[in-house]
Amino acid sequence: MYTLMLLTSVFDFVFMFKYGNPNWKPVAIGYLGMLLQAGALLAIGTFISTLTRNQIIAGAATFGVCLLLFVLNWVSQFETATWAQVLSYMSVNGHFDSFARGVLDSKDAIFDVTVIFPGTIFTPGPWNPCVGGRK
Amino acid sequence: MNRSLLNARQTKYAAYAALYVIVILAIASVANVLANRYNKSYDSTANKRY
Repeated sequence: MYTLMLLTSVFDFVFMFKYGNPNWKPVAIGYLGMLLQAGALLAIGTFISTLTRNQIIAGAATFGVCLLLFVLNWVSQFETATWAQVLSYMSVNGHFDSFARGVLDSKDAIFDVTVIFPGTIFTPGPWNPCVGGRK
Repeated sequence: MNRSLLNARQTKYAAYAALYVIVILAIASVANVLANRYNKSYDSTANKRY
C-alpha cells in the first residue's frame, strides 16, 4: 500500500526525465531510503498492533513510538555522552539524510533492515516461521 | 520460590519467548555496531559531492 502511495510521485519524475536529463541514481537511492524507512516504521506499527486488539490504542502507540524515533536525534544536540550517541543512532530521521543526498551508506541501510527484521519476526503471521499465524 | 511455578508450562514458554527476544535484539545490536564501525559509502552524485 505504501509503495502504491509512493508510486504516485513517479509522475513528477516522468516529466522531469522527459524534459530534462537528471541523474537517475540519487533518485533511485532516495526511493530506496523512503522504502526502507517506511518498512522500518511499518514493521514497528505491525508489531505494536499485535499487542492489543484495539486499533485506536495500536494506532496511538505506533504514532508515539514512531514520533519518538524521529526526535531521538535531538538528544545529540545537548549531550555527547555514549548513551546520547546510542539514542541518536536509534533515530530513523538521522538515517535518512544520506539517502536523501543520494549517498548509499551501508550503516543506514543495515539500521533500517535491523528494525524491519525484529519488527517482522516478532509479529505472528504466515510469513513468520517462528511465531505462526492463526490457521 | 514456589517449585510448581518453576515447572509450570507457562513459565517455560515465557522463558523461551524472553530468550528468543533477547537473541534477536542481540543480533540486531551487534549488526548495527559492526555496520557503524565498518561503514561503506557509495556516492551516486555525478560530481561525487559527498
